[in-house]
Amino acid sequence: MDILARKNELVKGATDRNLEFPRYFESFTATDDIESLSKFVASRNIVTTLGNNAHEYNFPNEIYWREEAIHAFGHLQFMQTLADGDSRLRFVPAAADAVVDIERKIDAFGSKTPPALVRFETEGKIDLHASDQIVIVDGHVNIRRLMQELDKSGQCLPIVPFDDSETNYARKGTFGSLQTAISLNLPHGLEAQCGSWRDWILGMTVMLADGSIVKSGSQVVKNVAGYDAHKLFVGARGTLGIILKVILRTYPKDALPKHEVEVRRRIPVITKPENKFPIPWIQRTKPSDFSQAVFNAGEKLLEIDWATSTLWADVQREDELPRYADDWVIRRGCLEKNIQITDPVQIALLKRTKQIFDPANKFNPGAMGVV
Amino acid sequence: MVADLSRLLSPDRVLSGDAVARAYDCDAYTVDRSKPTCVVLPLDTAEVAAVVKWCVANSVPFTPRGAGTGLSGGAMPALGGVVISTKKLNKILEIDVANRQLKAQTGIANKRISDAVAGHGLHFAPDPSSQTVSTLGGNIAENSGGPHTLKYGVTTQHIAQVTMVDPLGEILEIGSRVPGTPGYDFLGLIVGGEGTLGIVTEAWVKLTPLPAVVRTALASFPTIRDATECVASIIASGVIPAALEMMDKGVLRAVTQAFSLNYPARAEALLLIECDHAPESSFTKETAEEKDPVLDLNAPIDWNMSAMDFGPEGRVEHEIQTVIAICRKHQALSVELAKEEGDRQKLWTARKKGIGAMGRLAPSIITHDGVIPRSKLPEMLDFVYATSEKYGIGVANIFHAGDGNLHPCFYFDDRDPKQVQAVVEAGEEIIKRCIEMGGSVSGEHGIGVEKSDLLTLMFTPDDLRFQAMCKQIFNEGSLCNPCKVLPNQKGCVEHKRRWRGVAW
Repeated sequence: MDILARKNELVKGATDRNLEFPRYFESFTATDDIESLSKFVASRNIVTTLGNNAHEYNFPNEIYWREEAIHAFGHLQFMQTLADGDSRLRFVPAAADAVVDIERKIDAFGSKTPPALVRFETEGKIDLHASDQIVIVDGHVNIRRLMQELDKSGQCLPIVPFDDSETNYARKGTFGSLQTAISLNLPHGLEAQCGSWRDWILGMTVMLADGSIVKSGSQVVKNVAGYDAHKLFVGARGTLGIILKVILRTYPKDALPKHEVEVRRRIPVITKPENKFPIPWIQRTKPSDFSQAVFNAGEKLLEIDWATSTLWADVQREDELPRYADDWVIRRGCLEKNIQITDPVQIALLKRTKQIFDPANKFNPGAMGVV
Repeated sequence: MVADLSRLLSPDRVLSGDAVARAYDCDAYTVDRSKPTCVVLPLDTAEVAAVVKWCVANSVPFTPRGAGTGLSGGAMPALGGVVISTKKLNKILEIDVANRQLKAQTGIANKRISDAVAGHGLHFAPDPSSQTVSTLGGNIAENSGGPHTLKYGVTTQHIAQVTMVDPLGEILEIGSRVPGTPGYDFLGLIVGGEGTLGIVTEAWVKLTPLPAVVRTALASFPTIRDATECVASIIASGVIPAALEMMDKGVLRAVTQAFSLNYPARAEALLLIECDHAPESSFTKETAEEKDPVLDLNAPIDWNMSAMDFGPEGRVEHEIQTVIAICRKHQALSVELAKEEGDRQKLWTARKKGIGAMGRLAPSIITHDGVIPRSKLPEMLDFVYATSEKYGIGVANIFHAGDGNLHPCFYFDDRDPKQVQAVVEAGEEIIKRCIEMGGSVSGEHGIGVEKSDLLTLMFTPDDLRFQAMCKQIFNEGSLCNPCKVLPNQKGCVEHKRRWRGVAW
């Protein structure tokens, strides 16, 4: 089956599946009606949104359940084909199992009110200030579209360009919508040279659990006006609120360095539903441990970024690779093992933060593991 | 209090008395002052924790302090109590060259870190103008910048992990030796938290390779507008200089008198531009394999090529030549390019010694700090001069033009209350204008007590509640560095009148 045929199959599946949608979610579609969204969020028990799942998931539970969307994510061309011109399909860049978590939570809560799914159907606004090298973007804007807009002014986000013919995992953290990429904050191929999302985000407007809309930061490249509240939302997997708008620093396209990611194993092209994809294990160590980590990963290695001491490997759910002092691992499809935070101080702070920002635990429950 | 704290530390490390109170009643922001009851000089994290626990048990406010070079009153003991000085927390604890990180106590001066690793070809990139004295802890508290942050980023990008004493006296480690760790970004709050979320006592900092290729140029312009428009063009060109610093005629006048420097007679503004390249800006498998195509410096520049088409040395040369061409398009009177390190140091003189030289202009200087989108620089500078004229006080501008980070320096006589009032009001007017232009109340000096009220111009009550929620994660009480950052804190409003008692 070629890519287009596969796409058509998925679209059909998605459409069919939508009929069952209310079984899990009471859907809210926000366009520009932020006030209604605010009331909606404030009144619900559980809101799945952003980052790691549902908001992007204008349907792909079909993909989720049958073969895990995350794996479908593996092939760039396939994903681009899926996205092009079809508003019914959105990307689900990670943590497909978060949906499972949500379903489990629903049972645990015994909620009579269906959980809410927030999704955006407009393309979103992009307000580029090229001479200042900043862009103000709606959170649900697709990054590919954003890059195309920036390109017209010789600007970009410092991530591996999408027109690069080489497919690799090191770019995936920057795929999908802006909200998704920020919420996941996955490693990417130009991180050593150009930093990560926390370095590019100058400000943010978010919706909190009570429906209030608040902002932090500003439109300038250097700012110490109060606490950097928006930084908490980078990598928070949508558990603290909804990212509505982001102010980003852009990068001159001519100055974009080349990435140095070494690809050891290509990700297979999806041509059949039964195709199996590698289950990614992302591990970062101190540089002094990295050669050993690479050696130990052996045949499981998919990609290596020597510049940030990060490796991507194919590690099945039941397996582990050796760990090193101070290292960290992010996985997919492994439920509570996706993020392993074991330091009791961190766990206490995570729980405290969640309690302050989302006391009813309504935003993406379970997505951050310990909270 | 002194007796109790002397038992916790030792009598010689608990200071009190009138002279001590006067010496510690403000930092480099001298408009607001408040005296501490005593000052303690702990030697390590455990002693800091012991002091904080004592303060909490006795409901005594406490305020951390580094070198006292802060410019927004962040180290002023707003409600009195204990000043916890990091002066003796000044040791380098570990240097991990293999992983390019260094662990130090936070009372160490910024520059000492770079000096300690210079032999390994590394440095600590944040370089505030006060770096010879300002401390690592102060840099962390204020998320300090400096001339080279345009390319290398501010302090938060160079801190891996901190050890801190929280407002209840518990010792926490925040962050990770390995960046990007999953979870909420608490380190992003601590850095820039102005010492209100706890007292950072130790930190693992990231070390950056020293640039192997540096090209520095100093351009002079007939008007400040030509210079500021030139900055906008440089930024728009895609070149990212390591530093892009501007000085106006007020600074020119001061440094010319102080150091016998010569600039073109018609010069009203100077623009210092530095482009550089570090050989190993990241860890790579085989960095030695990096090839630098030989660049013929005599060959004409091919303007159709991007800087990235060259090797490191050629790239830097291409960048500086691009910048020089832009300067000339903007009517530069002269462009001087450093040929060797001695030349480079000379070109930096006006920037590095400009503030000091302004001491010749008046007894006191207040350096304001605001940020605007870079394209607004010409318009904003016009406004600064108009404001100075309106209030009848002198102003000179020396600032990080590449970041849009203004530092209007008002020079005045602080013995004259009217002049002090004029300086404060003029500063607030400038900051308000920054906000109207889409900018911020502070780019690198912080909020402290100076600008907490001004935050309400930039943020709604809900926005400030959002920030208060962040503070609440670490600090629910009112003892740890009280009355800083957030406006209208309980117990702070009445004291505010007293802080300005001296100056008003």
